[in-house]
Amino acid sequence: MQPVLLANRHGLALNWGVFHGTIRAMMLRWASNTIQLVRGPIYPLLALITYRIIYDISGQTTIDQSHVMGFLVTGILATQAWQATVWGAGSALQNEMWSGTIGSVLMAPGSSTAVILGHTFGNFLMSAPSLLIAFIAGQLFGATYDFSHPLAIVVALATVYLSCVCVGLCFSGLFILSRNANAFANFLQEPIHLLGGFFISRTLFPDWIQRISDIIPLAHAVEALRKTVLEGAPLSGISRDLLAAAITSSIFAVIGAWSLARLDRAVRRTGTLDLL
Amino acid sequence: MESSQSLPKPLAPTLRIIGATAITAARNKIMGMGPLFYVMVWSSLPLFLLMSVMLIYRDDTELRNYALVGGAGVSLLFSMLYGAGEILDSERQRGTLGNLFVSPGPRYAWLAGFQIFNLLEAAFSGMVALVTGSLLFGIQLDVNPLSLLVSLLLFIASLWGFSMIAGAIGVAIRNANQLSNLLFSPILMVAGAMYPVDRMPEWLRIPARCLPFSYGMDALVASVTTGASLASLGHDFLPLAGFAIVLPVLGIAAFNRLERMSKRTGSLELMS
Repeated sequence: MQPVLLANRHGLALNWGVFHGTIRAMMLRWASNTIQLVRGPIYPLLALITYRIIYDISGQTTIDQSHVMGFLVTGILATQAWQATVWGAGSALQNEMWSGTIGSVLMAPGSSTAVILGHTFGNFLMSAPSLLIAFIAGQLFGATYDFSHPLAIVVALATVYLSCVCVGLCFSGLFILSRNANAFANFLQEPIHLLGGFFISRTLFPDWIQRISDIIPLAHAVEALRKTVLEGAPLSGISRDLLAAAITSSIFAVIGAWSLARLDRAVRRTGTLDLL
Repeated sequence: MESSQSLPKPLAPTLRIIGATAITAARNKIMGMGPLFYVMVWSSLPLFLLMSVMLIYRDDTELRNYALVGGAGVSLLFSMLYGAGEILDSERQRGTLGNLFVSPGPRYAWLAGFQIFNLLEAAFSGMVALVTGSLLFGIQLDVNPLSLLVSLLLFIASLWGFSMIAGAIGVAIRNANQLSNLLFSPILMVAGAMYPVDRMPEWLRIPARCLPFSYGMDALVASVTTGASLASLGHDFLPLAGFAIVLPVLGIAAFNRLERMSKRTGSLELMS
């Protein structure tokens, strides 16, 4: 009873503690896994090189008037943001399930959203070295960046990450209920890479794929980021993309918040969450 | 237990172990996820990766044909590499990996059972990638069935051996799935699944030629898209046959070593 009272009186502080504690636990777990430590920075670099080879072989040096490497580096940034959100939350929840602790995590007085956001932001922090390496590699291989509008870049970057959080939030309920969060994250990865236009210009899509792609907030956020980082567009030049990202993100976020609230009630009622 | 290991094993019980393990693995995976969810997960990567590459190669028919079959090859790589790791990790997490290792049956029999299921899985997702790619991009195939069969047999034997080695190392370091994650990207880069080896940059051809993947991919693509004969694929088959012999032997040796190590240290089911 006491923890519930505590949650009511100091909900924000409690959830901040849960959020902070989740990030710390993730960091410690990550630091103890040598393979993850090695793989983290290598993966985006290899993806960057692989796509560069594919474009070189096909004879394309520019995509949407931008240098291939610049286009790909921003795509890598988007993949890292996406992985941090969906993979981070998905794998983390699955691990809790395997460890038999998912029930405790969700039954605890802190909000499950704080736990999921903790996993998400922990993953953002852990992806920082990968992004730095991809950025440097991009520059070494010919990417040119335009930092003339730093505010627009910061806003676009924040939009990419927020879009990921909203999409991740939307799917997190399904992750838990499906009891296959890892597999579900696996399933989502490549479609999102394609539909988000991470490595391919969305202008190449057939109409029907284009329409599906328009629903994904990340696609608009990544386009905004590319316009400002690669073409030097000011905030006004990316406002349409930001608006589209904001609208679609809001829809995903509302669905996510609704489904998580329902999930909280459902798992407390049925008590079947730890079943494998 | 040791004495039973040294006795010659009759074939029938070994085949029964292989069959039972394959069925168990299939049931666990398909029913665990649910059939619909299972199909979605295992066809997603090859299908969408293929679509991405095909869109990039939209103006080059030769590369598109290559990428189409390469996409099916990615399924094979993905299933063989991840399948073993994922299953072994699951067994460890359930606390049943130790039981498997101390059971009197040969290790490579139950691992082969897991891998047979992985192969069927790969065949399914490869077919999905191939058929969908052909329909979406209107590609005509010219298949030489004999060359395709030999290519598949040699390639699968090589991949099986490789996955045995990777699986043994993965179990030894208690993180088979993470090891597969670590290996998949560099393998994909040098495998020639998305571009032919002879169009790779020079620095990449050297590791590509030292591994079985590019020979297997090359042979698969040629036998499916250009109807290449057995004789014309000799330059791929010869090295691939070498890998198909050496890698399974090394894989079995790796698992035997792992078994001895795990019995000595008793650390097989530790989680970290």
